[in-house]
Amino acid sequence: MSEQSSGASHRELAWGGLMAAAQDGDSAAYEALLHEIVPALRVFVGARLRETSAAEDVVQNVLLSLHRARHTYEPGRPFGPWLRTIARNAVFDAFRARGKRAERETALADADLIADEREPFRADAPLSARMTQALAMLPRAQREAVELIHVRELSVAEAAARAGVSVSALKVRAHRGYKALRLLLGGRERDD
Amino acid sequence: MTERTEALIAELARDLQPVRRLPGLGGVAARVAILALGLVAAQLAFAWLSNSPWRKPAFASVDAWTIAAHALLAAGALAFALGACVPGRERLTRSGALLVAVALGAVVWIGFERLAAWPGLNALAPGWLGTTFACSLGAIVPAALPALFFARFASRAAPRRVALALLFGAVAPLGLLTAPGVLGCAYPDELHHVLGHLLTPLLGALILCSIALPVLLISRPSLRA
Repeated sequence: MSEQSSGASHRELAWGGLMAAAQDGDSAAYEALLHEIVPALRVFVGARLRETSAAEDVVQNVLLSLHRARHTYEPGRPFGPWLRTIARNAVFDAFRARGKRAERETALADADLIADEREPFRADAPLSARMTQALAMLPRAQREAVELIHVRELSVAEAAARAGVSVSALKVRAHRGYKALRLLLGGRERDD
Repeated sequence: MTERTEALIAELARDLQPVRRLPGLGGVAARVAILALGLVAAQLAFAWLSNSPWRKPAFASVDAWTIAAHALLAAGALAFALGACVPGRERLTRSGALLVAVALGAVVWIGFERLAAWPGLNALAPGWLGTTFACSLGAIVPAALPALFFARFASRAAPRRVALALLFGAVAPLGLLTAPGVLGCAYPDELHHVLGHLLTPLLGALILCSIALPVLLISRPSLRA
């Protein structure tokens, strides 16, 4: 037990060193650190969130939050509590987002999101003129979300980081975009 | 590891730039406290040089209790505000919250004691409202400087609850800067003591925070999330 805890503290000490190097701009140390903490984060988040797909999104959110808050780590102080606070906050955010989503959009299920992410567009297929027109008619935020995921082929987390919003918010925007596109394209088909 | 997480890590590592670290919390606390205590000393020196009437409060008098409660409030608020700014400092935040709770309990107790002895509105001397404002502003205006210093630190730290951090960050210097007012005020009314001195750290922090928060949120849009 004490060997385990000393192993964990030794590991966190090493992580603290890598983080200090990352603060100075050492990309290799940073990449190594992120790779090392992901399994621990997955355990931490997974113990609090049951859905595996949501847990992976939260882990990605933790990485993004850590990236934004990396200047707040004080070298020499324990790295574990710093990381766990960021992870806990991301889990709280996920719970809060889930609550808000349940209030506003009861029909928005994760299964729909996953299906929608795969269905309507293929990056290798050219955008038809109708699709381009329909995309142009979407509100800016929804158009940006759809384009980032399906035209630029970014991951949801990357797209969220690029758009400057949370993963959940980006998913909601994209979902609304898909629904609007389906209406726009479906409506035209019936007109035809 | 999923491909997306892998890709995200690669992108974050590619995106990495050297960052300017936040100063240590001990250093920030010391600077806020030194700034506030320096202003207290300046006010007392000014009062002494201008021969203003100021009293040495008797041990265990209401004034002494007020100054002690405010000092406790200042210490707790500073610990809470600093802990709230940086991840992983929950112990500091909790200790600060505990001190603040004790200090607020003392403030409420002193307030009740004072108001119980208050003879009522009829006993108010003309111009009491102006005097009360003047006493409050005497603490709030100089406290703006250390509060601004803390707000600058908070804007860099980007805490999750920025309003709460700013509020407690303003309570801290106000808790110290009410002391010269308590010592120098000869106005005898109990309501004046409660509104113009006892509650000044809380009311003043609300005022300073309501000014600083919009400015901070406009200048740093990332804090809005």
